Amino acid sequence: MGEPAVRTEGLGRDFRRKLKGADRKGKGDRFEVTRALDDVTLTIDKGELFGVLGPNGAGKTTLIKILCTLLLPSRGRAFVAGHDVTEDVPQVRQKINMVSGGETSGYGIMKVRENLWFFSQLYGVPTEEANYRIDTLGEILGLTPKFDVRVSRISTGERQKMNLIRGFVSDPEVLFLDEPTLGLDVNAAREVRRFVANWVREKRENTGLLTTHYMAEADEMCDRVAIIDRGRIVACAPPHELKKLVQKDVIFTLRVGAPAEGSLDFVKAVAGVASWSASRSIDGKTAELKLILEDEATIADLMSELAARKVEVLSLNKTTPTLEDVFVKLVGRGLGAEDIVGPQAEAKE
Amino acid sequence: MSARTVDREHPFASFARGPAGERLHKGRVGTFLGAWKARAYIRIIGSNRELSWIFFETVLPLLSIIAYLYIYRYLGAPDRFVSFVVLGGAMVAFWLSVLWGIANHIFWEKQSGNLELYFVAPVSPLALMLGMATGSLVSTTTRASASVIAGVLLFGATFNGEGVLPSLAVLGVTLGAIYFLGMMFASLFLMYGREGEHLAHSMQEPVFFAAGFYYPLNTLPLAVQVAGSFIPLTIGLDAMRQLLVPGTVGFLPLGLEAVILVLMFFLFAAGARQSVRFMEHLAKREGRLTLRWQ
Amino acid sequence: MAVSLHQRRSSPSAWLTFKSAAWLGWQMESNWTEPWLFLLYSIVRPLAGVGIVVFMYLAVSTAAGIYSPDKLAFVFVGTTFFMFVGQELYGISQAVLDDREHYRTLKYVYIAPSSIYIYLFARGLAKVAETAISASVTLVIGGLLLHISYSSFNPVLLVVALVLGLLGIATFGIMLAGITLLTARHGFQMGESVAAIFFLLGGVVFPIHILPVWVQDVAYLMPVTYWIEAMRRSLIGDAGQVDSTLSTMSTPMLLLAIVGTTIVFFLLSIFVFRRFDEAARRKGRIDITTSY
Repeated sequence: MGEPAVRTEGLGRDFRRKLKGADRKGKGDRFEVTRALDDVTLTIDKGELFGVLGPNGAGKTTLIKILCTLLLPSRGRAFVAGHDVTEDVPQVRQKINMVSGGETSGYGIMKVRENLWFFSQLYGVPTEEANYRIDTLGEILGLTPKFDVRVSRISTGERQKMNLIRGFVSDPEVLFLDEPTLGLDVNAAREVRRFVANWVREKRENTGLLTTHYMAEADEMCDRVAIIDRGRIVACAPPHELKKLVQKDVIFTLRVGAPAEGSLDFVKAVAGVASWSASRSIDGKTAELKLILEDEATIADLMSELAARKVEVLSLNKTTPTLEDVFVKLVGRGLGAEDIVGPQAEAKE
Repeated sequence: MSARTVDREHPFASFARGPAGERLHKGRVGTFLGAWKARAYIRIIGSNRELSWIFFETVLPLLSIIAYLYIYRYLGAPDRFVSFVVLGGAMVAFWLSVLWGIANHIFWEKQSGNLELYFVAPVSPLALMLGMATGSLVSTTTRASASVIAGVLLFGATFNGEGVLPSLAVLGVTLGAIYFLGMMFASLFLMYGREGEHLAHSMQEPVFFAAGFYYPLNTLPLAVQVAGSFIPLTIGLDAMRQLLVPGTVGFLPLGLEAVILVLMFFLFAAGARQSVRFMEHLAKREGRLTLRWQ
Repeated sequence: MAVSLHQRRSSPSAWLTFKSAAWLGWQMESNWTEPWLFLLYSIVRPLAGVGIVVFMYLAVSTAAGIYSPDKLAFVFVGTTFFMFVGQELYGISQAVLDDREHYRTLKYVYIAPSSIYIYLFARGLAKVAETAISASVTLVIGGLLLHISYSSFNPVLLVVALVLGLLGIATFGIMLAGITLLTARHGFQMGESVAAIFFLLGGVVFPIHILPVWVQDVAYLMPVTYWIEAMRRSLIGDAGQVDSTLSTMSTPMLLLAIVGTTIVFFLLSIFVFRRFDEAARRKGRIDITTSY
């Protein structure tokens, strides 16, 4: 298997704030300590797209900053591509890059291509190769028409695409994506996700660590997801396994035309139907069937049986547990609760 | 633009690799030089995209220098004082470039989010600061030259022709030393954040005063002369005056000043390297590298 | 108490805008975490600025062997009060740059129904308040060390002239703020660069009559010229009157000249600001970042 791409051991980070004046009244200490990360132990294998899911202020960005060598941990150790993030900083930086959501980096007065070329030079990419990579990634993301436009004149989505290209142009082994779709519209966000997923899948030596508070994003993209809250990892597993933690069955809801004669009791005789219930509408013209199936393939048999009995199927819905259900179960509140807003958010995370 | 055809099917796999399949990069020295060049490019091209600096940074400051020249005219000063003002005015451009183009600019890089990208990259921030410094040379040299030209043409400042080449050498060493000093200041500015702007302002007039920008250094009390001599500008300016302005009595003998400047160059170069490391460590420990609106 | 719809829709009063913006400016300027930095900035720096001119005088006096206390007083007092010019211009114009590029709030201020002129003027006043401290310390120390006599001190003239002068300077600050909307952040302090115009033409460190005639004509159009003269008179009386033209003007005439030129430049500043404001909005520059 080899050395994992990312490994942390009991990682912790505290932020101290000096108390002054009224803040200090009644408190003995001169400093207020915020524990942004606490005892985080993770292993991320090469070729994995690993998600860190949590609300604002959970510690996601703090974790990324430590792994990117921007922040020193207060406790514990972390290794990226086999190198210690505090002792082997140059070696770590050779192998990583970072893309943050809502980024304002870059030089507004310079053109998009110039900005991308500039950042490629910080990684020692030869200019010819850098231009090829910029052209390639620009074409895939549809940013090529904007290459000769000043950064101050491109849209938010285009700017984020530029930042994404910046992250990939150095051909990193490990890429840290801190809420990369923040502020993007649906299409742009979808493009970004597809792009990142392709990068990981194209060559199974690339590793991505993605932080997000969009559950659908983590569910869709990630091989494994760690749920973090108040600086602690509360669960870490593939999305489908996390959902199994929630004792919530998959429910199929069918709206059907009510049969002219007889009831819908025949449903229980279909092999694979674990339990069912039916209710008629007030006007008696439609009915709603709720079914729990032992196997999803049973739905095909059920549809055949309904067709044979000339029962018209009007709609079919499938309700599955979501990661929010998982989060609520593990943490006791929703993902959007108790958001911390304002400049302190950065330090707190 | 690249000459290779884009491989849309396997874009990442099409990236060039080294002979053993390793990620491609220019090596430590190549990356350092490339980053230096790239940051200088940003500075030079950026200033050419917005030419308003020519008026605000060259034409208007010239008015200050003209005002100082008129002060001496009003006071009935000997001719060599005109040359002092011209040289001092030229050096102002370089010192302000150190303060605002390098030291305080680091704070703006942090605000825009570029600083954290610098520190994630495998290159020393020194390369980037050198890029800022050399990139600024275009605009600061323009300003400095304007000062000299105006002084010569409008106010009859005279300089010793034989001293021009040696004084350019002195200027080169002095600039190197003050730019490295500026990089040391950058560490301070990173820690002080918004207050760094106050710090930068505080290093303008006191330095102009203590370095004797507009008058002979020996006009100042000895204690101030000694304190001012720790700034490379003071020694550099004094040496240039001795070379260019006949009749100037220097603070120290010319040869000694040249040696001191060279020592300062290497001392501040080492200091810049150390202070960048220290700055980075401290900022990472306290979480200030990415703290905005500080 | 219920707020009527009519009350909710009306714009904030000028006083409310002024108060809020002045408070904001002061919060930014007064946020000193290090006392030594405050001392360095507020006292050492201004003293050094004035010291440059004083030592220029001393250098010449030593070389020529001639000492003129009146000339010393002239340059010293002029340079001290000139601090207000540089700082107020800087404070007003820098508010645009800070809000646009640093805090990214300029667009929010713009779309608010408050007067942008009042907002910018009030933001710049924090610098003026700081400068008042610096100028006071400089005058005291200078008076002691340089034996400058303030026996002609006229506090009424000082206050009246100061208030009128700040308004006059503010008109240029507003013009500069408008221009700043269209310029990049070049790294230097634009306000202080523009102040150089007044340093040359304002009779700050030498009498205007030594300038070429056509330049003098420009100088006598500016409120700063009369203001510096009025401030000198308020402190050192006749001792500062070395300018052949201004010394013939009575003090009321001087104040009238400040008021008259301020009114002209006030109207001009509104015109200039509006033009640059329109251009900035047309080019989409209200919320750009331009650092390089």
